[in-house]
Amino acid sequence: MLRLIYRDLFIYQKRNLVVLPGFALLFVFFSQEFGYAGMGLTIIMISVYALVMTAYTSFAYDETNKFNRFLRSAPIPSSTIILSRYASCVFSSIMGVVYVVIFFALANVAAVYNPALQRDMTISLEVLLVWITMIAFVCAFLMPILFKFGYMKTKYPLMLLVIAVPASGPIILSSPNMNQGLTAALSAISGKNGYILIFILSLLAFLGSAALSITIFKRKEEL
Amino acid sequence: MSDLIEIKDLSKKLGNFELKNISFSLAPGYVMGFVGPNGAGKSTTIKLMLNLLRKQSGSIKLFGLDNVKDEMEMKQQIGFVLDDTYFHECMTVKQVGWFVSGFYRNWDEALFQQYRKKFDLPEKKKIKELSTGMKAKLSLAVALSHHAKLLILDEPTSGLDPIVRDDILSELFQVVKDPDRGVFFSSHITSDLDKVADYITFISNGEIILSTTKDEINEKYAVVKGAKKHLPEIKSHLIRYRETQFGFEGLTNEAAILRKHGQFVVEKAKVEDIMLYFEKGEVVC
Repeated sequence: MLRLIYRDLFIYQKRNLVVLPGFALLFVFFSQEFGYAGMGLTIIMISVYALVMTAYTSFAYDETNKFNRFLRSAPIPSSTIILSRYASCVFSSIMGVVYVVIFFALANVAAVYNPALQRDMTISLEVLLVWITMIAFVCAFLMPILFKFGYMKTKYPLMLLVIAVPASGPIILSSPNMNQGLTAALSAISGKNGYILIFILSLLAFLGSAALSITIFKRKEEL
Repeated sequence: MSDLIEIKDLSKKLGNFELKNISFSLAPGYVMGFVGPNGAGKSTTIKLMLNLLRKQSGSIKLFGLDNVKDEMEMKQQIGFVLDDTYFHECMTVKQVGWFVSGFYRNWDEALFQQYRKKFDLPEKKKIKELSTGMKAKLSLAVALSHHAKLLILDEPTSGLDPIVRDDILSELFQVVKDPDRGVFFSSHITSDLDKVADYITFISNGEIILSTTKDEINEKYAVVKGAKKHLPEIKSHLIRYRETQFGFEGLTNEAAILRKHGQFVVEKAKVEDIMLYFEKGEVVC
């Protein structure tokens, strides 16, 4: 499985590995706007970006090369092929986080000369839980769709979704009813128990998604 | 020792195409040429053998192992070359070796390096920089480097120049010098099969037309040519025939009888002749 992950991250993603620190730097640059929540938000943003980028690039290359046919002819179980793709996406997110942490640290070192570069590096347990939950939910949603329909068929609808979700934020917040509903929902899940519940749900969704992807892959490949 | 390949009553329906209860076997130490026109069912059969497709009925055993239940163990002992290179174009030859080595417990890095040098494959060259012939050689090097008992090759020589084809065929000869190993080789380049195959299995429209040794083909099968007036008396000895401007030409599996006849030209049938007659000749009723 390690070789499959290596292929996804360091052979397929060579160009993206240069782009990723660039985005991390950009996110770190704007993170001051969010004050103490800057680190957490930056980590979540870069993680989702890295995950989606890895998933898309790997599926695109696999479709071009028909690489799955080679893998399935070799003694590699289908579950290994699927789980390695999930693992690649998670590792990619972790790499994004590592870049962010490094740039935050560098910004703080540079802040000695320019105080404007000072960044708050606080990471609470809640932020970590939200981070893992976010990765788990995005993976759980994205991967079965990509395994089912492939890169070519999903790239535009998913791209639209990626734009639509943040764009709908202001609309939701400006509508009093929606805003109230959202506040109520958030208050219901806030607190330690709420976080843990969402965290467990996200892990279950992740595992369920992996099982679903294995089934989809087998059905799709073995006609 | 069990047969390397044992296929019995294998069926599979794929859209309009159907593989109809095909059966054949291959003993260790031999090369089997799997021949047939495009769309005859060669690649489908290979995909079924590798469990890339789900069979509808019948059984596939390789080395006595069931190809579904014992899939991973079976695949450890198979070297395969598919009709295309599936490696990412940015991978180097060295990376391909490293990548594949992780999946085979008997991977022999020294042997891979040996083939790499023999086939003139530069370690640092990327897949996109390799010619078609070099890609085919790389696939073969990968297939040969884990001491596979059975090589399954799906049209490995199509689109290659005669020199590269000859290099590949020479390697297949080397493989079957080991009496425990065998080669299953699909192709529609019949001259390649004439050179290397010990057995020929001919498939047409999803049906096995014949599966026998090449010696038997040489002995039994022949192309018969004669004047039109002799056609009625010889028809019963012909499998397929076609009438020409000057007479007739036909395929027989009773070459010995017709050679004694004296009135006809009886020529040794090549694999290509058999393929052409079965595909284009008129059926004798």
